Amino acid sequence: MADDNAEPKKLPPKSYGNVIISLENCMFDKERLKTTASKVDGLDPETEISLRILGCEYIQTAGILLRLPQASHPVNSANVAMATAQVLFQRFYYSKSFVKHNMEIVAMACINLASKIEEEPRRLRDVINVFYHIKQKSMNKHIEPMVLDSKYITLKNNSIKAERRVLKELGFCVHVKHPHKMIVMYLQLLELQSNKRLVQTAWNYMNDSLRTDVFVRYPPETIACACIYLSARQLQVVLPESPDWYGLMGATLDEMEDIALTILRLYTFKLKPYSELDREVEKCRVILQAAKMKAKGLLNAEGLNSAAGTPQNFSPHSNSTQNSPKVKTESPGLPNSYKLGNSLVKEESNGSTAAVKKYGLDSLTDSRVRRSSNSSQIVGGLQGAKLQCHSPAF
Amino acid sequence: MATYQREVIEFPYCEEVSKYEKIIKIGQGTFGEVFKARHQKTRKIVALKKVLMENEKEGFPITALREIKILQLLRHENVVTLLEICRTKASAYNRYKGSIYLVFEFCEHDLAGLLSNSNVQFSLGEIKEALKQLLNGLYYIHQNKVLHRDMKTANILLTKDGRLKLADFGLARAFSFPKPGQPNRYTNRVVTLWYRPPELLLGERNYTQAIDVWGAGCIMAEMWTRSPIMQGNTEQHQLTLITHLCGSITPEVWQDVDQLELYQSLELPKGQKRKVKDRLKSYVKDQYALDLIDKLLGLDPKTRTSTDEALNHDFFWEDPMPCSLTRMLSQHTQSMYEYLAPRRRIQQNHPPSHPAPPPPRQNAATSKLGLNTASFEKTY
Repeated sequence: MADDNAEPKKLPPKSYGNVIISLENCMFDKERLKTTASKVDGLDPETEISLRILGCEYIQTAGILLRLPQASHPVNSANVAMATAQVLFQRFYYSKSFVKHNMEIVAMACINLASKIEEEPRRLRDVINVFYHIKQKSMNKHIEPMVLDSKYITLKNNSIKAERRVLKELGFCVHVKHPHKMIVMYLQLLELQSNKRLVQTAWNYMNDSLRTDVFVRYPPETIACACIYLSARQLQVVLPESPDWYGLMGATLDEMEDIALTILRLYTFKLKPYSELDREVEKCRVILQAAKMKAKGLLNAEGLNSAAGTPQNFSPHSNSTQNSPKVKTESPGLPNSYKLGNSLVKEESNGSTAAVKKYGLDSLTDSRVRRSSNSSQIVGGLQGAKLQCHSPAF
Repeated sequence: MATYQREVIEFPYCEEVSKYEKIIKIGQGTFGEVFKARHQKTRKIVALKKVLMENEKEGFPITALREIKILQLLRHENVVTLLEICRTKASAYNRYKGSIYLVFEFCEHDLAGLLSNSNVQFSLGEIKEALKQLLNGLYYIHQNKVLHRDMKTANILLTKDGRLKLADFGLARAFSFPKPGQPNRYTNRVVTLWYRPPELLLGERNYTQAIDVWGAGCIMAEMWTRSPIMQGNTEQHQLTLITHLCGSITPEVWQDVDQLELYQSLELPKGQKRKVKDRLKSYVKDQYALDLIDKLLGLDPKTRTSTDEALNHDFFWEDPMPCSLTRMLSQHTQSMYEYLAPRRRIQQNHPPSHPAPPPPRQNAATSKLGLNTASFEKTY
């Protein structure tokens, strides 16, 4: 015998002050999702979506290379570390911006954290190595092991800090409920579990849905329903309509269609290469930094002159994809970067032509370090632009 | 202005710990210090447990992640309540590494502190009440598939209004029932040595809730003896003490024990009779109590009694019935913690800690064995 309340319970999340401690998935309504932190920082939505998709892709690839048990097949649904990492990654970037928080570092932190949460811990060193490998591979570079120098130490420290930031930002609500098991369960309920193709298709849609925002918008039960719904339509499997099978799981047709469309949109989305995305981010970062310095009063009006020809009405809220390239082309000294063409270095040069010119283009990682050391110069070149366009607002 | 700094979405987030003022250090948990603290505005008293991050090469410790998840999952009157998680700001003072604090409801005493104070007297009914709450808490966490893995009197808290709570889930983890052919491989370097069950000492990695039940048995006996009943110095020594109390460990009393990793390599005294009741009867006068302790300290984890069976034991259903602890505890206005208690046995008061040092098993054990038989006898 034991107390009645010894039953595995489902109490409402306890609130204490402003803080809610809960194991339920965090969700937001669509209105709130329209304005993300990255958007506020001036990043255009296309780039943000690309970064989200690419980050999830990195996590997925890294997970495979780290031999994290993959939830690739319904039979092996034991572990879901990669799915957890992707949900954490998505959630984090609804609270923080890609401009201020490097996508790769956060992705590393998420996979490190998720591997611990799902009881499949991997060494941080392995995570870093795997990301380094992916990067070399994606650039068709000769694969070399990472050198354990001060750069490595910095990277490791940064990803530990990023992990802590993710935890803090998500208020330690980092335990993700996944629809993996639900899909299997629901299909059993519908007596369709023997249709292997249907099971696998639904499963695949579910894994792909991690790259979209559905996990911050819908409970896992609804996502499971939507994946079944989408697969059944594709494979022309008839599902019971009266009563609505999905109604039993608490989903509505509208919700399922919304999720299905979101997933399908993923397949037509034109993913930009990381180099391009990183350039966009860097641009926003430079502008932001300039604004910050201005706000601190570190700049004086003279800085304005250097910004001839930059867009006049820039504001962090405008989706100024067209505007941004101008900043680049018309800034003195920048056009050089275009000469780099598709070379690997371009990937990381991000318009820091000063660095490129000065040090040559020997290695990608080197130029990356130099970029940061030279970023003040870049800022010097661009801050005026920011100042000028912002002046009406001040 | 400053629109770009506006954060759009607020997740449940961490507030700064500075809203609490620390009053006094009250303990040393598995992964950090514990403080009594007061909310600056509401004056509410809480316990703050700092998560040590300094030497973490792999980022945020997985044990802390487990503790947080488990505490978020568990809500029961006999399990300590996690109120929130706070942080300190990264600054030059902490080399830009902020710390994380777990904020708990405050409990006035811990069982180790109470038992070490001879002014605190439990009546039989009060002992029953405390044990009933203890087993209720254990039953609940086991129902939720959580192993505590660090049962000991210092981790049992009591509020001044007589509520007992399991605390310190720093070593706890979720478990699954092993599937045939797929044994679990958990670490066996858990549980403070004096409360560690024989299967862990013999290297079992596929263990169950029964490991916490053993601890409950040790704690139950301690309610009368007032100090831990088996204070071993090494794993080998602890096993010897267990054998002296519970009889020789053989395949006859414990099926398949010879399959365990360390069964051959550790020295297990032969020909010992089980004398749990005999040796405890001078402390424990109640026959039902003796019988329950005997069942909780079953050698074979497969046949050791479960929390459910224990709660059904006559001990809890015969006169005197369990009675509230409030009256007894209200006589003591001073908080009692093991950490703050005067050191009774300076040398022995610190059981070898849980992440036990890597196996100095046999050599150290045999050398110390002779010396410590004396202290073993003394504790009875």
